[in-house]
Amino acid sequence: MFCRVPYVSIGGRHRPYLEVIFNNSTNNKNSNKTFAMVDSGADHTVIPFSIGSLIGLEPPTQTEILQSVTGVGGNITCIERPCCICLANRKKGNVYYFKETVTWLYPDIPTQEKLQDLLNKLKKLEEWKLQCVPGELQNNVIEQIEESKTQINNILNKFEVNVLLGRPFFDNFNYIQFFHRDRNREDQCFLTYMVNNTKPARIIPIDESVYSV
Amino acid sequence: MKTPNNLNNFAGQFVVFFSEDENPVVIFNSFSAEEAYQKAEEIKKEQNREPIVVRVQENEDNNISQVLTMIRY
Repeated sequence: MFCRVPYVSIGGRHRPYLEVIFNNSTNNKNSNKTFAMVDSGADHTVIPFSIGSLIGLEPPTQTEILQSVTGVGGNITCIERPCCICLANRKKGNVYYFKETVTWLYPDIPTQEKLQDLLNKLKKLEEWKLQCVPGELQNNVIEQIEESKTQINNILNKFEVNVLLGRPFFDNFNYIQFFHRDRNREDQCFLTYMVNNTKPARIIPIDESVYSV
Repeated sequence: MKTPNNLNNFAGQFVVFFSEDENPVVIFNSFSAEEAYQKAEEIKKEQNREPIVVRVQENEDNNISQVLTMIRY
């Protein structure tokens, strides 16, 4: 039994994406469903800061050393964490839970401190806004709030790359085939994969899974 | 598994949509991940369907392998 996945376009370019949900087995918290790009050139499975935070992965301890990922756009700090990746095969009606180690993009201490300062400033501005009467002063506070939010987002955006399913994730499949004959016909491309049934930590019916609301 | 055809307009933002729809539309968009995740949860409860949350990268034309090497320092 294999599964066929069409190349999906996000913003004009078609790429091989799988729909996945991330699960933190320590608190059983799930992420929202998201697209994860199958990237045979990636050494690691990478998740952005927001997804790891959402499912409550354990932040780095004081003594833990952050790693550095070098890619397009420079260096980004990160930490490795165990995490479950859930993949639904709708044709077969199953959801597969794969125990993986993910590389979670995580700000280093100076960046965390900068973020915290900005968040504190934002909190104060929000409080101030409530105390101001409508008028020029309040408009000025609103402008400052927007500016703070932009600064916070600019920092966080660096840690918000696409989810990448790298080479270690490939080990869960008997095979993955990519079909990509012509760059001009990317919308007609697809990939197929076949799950190696010895790999999933759990296999459960879709109806009983995180995919059923 | 489909995507809205106007995602280019949401570069740098988190978008929420239903990928199983014939013609998906962006239901919600925000520069804040927290806002997008919160909205997706509300939509899930309201519509009893699981929406997709994904960030549209700023430069999708140049989305070559983002992670090349890893160095421990």
